[in-house]
Amino acid sequence: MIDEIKLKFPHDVEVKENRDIYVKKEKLFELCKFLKYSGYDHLSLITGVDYSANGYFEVVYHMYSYSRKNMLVIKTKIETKTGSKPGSEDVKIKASDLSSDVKKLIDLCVGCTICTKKCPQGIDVKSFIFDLKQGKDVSIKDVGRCIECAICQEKCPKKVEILKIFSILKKSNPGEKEEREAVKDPKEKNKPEEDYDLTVPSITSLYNSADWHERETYDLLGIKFEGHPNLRRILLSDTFIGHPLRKSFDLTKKQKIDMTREFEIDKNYLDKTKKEIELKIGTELMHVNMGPQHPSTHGVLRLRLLVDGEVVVKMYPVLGHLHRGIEKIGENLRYIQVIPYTDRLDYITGMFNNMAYVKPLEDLMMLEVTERAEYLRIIAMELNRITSHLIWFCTWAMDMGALTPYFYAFRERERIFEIFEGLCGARMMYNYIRPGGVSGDMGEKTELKLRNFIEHFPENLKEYHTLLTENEIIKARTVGVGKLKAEDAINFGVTGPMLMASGFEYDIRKAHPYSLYEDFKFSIPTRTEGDTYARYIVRMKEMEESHKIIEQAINKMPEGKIMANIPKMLTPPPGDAYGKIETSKGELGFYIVSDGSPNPYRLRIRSPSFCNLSALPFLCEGEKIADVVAISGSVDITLGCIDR
Amino acid sequence: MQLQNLYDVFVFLLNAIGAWQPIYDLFNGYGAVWLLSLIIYAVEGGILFGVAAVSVLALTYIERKALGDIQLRIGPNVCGPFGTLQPLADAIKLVMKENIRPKNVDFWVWWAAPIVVFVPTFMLLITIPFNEFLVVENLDIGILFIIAVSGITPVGIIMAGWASSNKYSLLGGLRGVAQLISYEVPLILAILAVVVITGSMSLTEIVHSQEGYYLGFIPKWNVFLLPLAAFIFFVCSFAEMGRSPFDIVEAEGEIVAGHTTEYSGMRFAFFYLAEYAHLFITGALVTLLFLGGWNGPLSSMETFGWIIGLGWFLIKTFTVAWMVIWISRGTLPRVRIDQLLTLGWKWLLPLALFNIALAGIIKIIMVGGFF
Repeated sequence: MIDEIKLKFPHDVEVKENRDIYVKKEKLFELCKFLKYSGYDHLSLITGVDYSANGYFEVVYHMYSYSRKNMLVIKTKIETKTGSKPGSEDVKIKASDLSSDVKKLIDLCVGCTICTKKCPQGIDVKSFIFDLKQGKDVSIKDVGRCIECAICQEKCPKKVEILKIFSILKKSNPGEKEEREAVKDPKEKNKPEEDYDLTVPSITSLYNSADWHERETYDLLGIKFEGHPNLRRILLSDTFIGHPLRKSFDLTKKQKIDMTREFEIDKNYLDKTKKEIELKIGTELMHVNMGPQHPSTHGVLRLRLLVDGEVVVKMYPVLGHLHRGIEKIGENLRYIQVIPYTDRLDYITGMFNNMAYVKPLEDLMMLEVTERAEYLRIIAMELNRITSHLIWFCTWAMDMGALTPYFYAFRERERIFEIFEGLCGARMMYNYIRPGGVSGDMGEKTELKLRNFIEHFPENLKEYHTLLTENEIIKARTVGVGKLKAEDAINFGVTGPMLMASGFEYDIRKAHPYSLYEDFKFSIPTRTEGDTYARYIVRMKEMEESHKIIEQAINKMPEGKIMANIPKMLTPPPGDAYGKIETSKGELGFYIVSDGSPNPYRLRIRSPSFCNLSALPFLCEGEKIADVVAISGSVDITLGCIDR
Repeated sequence: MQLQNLYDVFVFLLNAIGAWQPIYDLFNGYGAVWLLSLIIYAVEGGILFGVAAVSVLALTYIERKALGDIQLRIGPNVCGPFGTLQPLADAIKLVMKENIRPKNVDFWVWWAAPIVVFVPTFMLLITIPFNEFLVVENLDIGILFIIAVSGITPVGIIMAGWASSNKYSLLGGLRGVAQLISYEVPLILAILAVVVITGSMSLTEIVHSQEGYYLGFIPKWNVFLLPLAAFIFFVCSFAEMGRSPFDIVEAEGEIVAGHTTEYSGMRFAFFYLAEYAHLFITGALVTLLFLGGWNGPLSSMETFGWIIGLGWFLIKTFTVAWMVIWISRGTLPRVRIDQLLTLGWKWLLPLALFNIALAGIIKIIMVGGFF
């Protein structure tokens, strides 16, 4: 494919490492169009990476072809016209200006690197102090990140009073002072960040899935997409100032969100569409706010509905109520420290999140994983798939008024949680899958529990089927409701059971086997209808398949170590990697950009719920309010994963 | 003296202890016999409220325990023995709760709505005979009264929905009216079949007509004579009560709590009370119309027959209520509004009309003496 692209765009495309395709941004749209019509129909994700220190931003597109089973990474550079920001210029401390008491303290330093290694914030303390001692000028920038935990001071063999040095330097440095005062001034606080003129052509007309991805990239990085129909912020408030994923964004500044103004912006936007539709259909519409506090939006999802009586005419999902900025937090943590945060993404499928994060990391660092660990990972993930589907099935039934299945599903979920407890000690926030292996082995008791579970689960599944599958009301509510054709599903970037229910047989476990999935026998359940009922059946079948996989895994699990020998400090070589796995919801991917430091340079999460949810307005418009509940339930979303 | 209603029972009891004549003379001396009647009626009202409250408490307890059984749970088990005091604790909680009044409500309508919903439901109890004489007023048109009074409830629901100035409430109110109106028609037609067979609108008469046995062992209940009518009545009662699968009025998954969304504390408790009182009344009506009322083994005994009859009545009523709980909240999901209306107008109404014709034929056969 790369050769074809080279032939088609000889002057505008540059290929590096036979993988990354760098394209000029003027030709981006044409390239995407060409790719779309040559089979690259799945736009996996759009990411922006801030290289403003080098004078450019990068927008990364991951395009996947279902027919060729091949992923292309397309990158386009946007030069920042203003260059790096004046504010981010380093304030240098000159060694010659140091006062005598500081010099005394510094003199003790011998230049060992213990303090740097121990620092939880990743500040290079050693070079800071040792360079000053040797008479070099150093930047004050890093010192601002110090949280005064005093670990460096405690671990220092020479008992250098590092904190004291830092505090003296902070006080004596005039540049730092000014900045602090500026923060205090309320008018200054809301001053917009200096904006670069960053524009890329939008590809929403080609891929529906690009819509929300582009909005997110605009929201968090401030890259404007020309031609986007509705380029508004998606995760953050409309009144938010600045773009947090830029490197120049000041995390210490606090912002007060002006809710009144936000509502005004929202209302103006909605009123315009409302009037247009009202003119067309000739009646007055009612605006119903479903959520963020609503019993069946499964979290803090807000759906704004324009309804004509009971019929939904227009729907706008509003996201971001649970946005915690995990991608930004990840940039300030060591690689290993990010894993607990991934548990909090989709809190129902923690094992998958661990795995999806660890996978690209292992790819980047070429880490080996022991065989037993792989088996444990597969057991953990498949059990997690069952819990996730159980939760989905019971809450979906509850949304439609059937309360009883809820308690039946929670019974089995509890059993699986007990197994997880035996594996890693936690019931929901596992932190189990680590680079190179897993954190805990399966003991005898846990194995007994697992075997017991395997033995009884088919009977329980039968019970669920008797509760719901042939129920006339369930069928009346779901058959033919919320139909999604396969080509629409692909265009919206929908993955997982939803895609399978639309009649498209695709599973990453089969197409690109990771871990040891190629050793297991299982099938991909598909349905051709693509409606809500089909999604239900597919998920029930998936549970059966997961059960099969667990059964095979437990029977041929080898003995051995559960953790490979990996370096204590994970510092992947500079580069980027995208790892994707098939979760219970679809394709979960982590895109990790490394600059060779112990912290990830950029962490991007491709959330399956996010992409699946983007198809919701398409499914719901024209249906009744009660159907919105059934359909949004059948999409299976977790807001923790959507808002990140 | 043949006891006719609760008033007679009072007179009978006072007579038995020899207190009736002096009291009557006392009031008669001032020319205020009406005041005596009023006092007795007030006491009857108090008893009625007590019955309603106790039955509601009992029903909430039964509902929780039954649901617990169905859903692999234990249900209430902390307050009192086997959790029997849980309903009381709930009642106290509801009374103690703050009455929140939202800012933009249409106050008087909003204020009146719970009363408009609760009072008619409560009034229905007036004509329900627990026994031959345990009835406040044995109206000759008892069943007509019940139909007429229960027709007021939708007004209260739409009042609550409109005045709350909440969109969920409004949707719930509108849904409620659409639902109640469309299900009232087949419900009434099902009752009509019973009236055709019995030839009377008095509930006591209807029960009396169900005395005795066919072939010596099948009770002469209307459910065996008119199974279709019983079925239609039972199904429509679900909609009338707003219970799952027809609980779209307050479908918690869609419109939060429908017309009750903006109510709290005692105002909400009125809706709650009305719902469970309605459940009790449905049980009672099914019992009276189709299950032979207080008739049962030993219920026609000379002296203690009335106690046994009362027992049979309560057993049947609570069994029907338990069945409603089992079917509605324990088993079935909720239907959609259009499906609900389709079921009402396209299936139940033609069936009910057919049923009346059927009842007519049965009546002709009965009058002709073929039985």
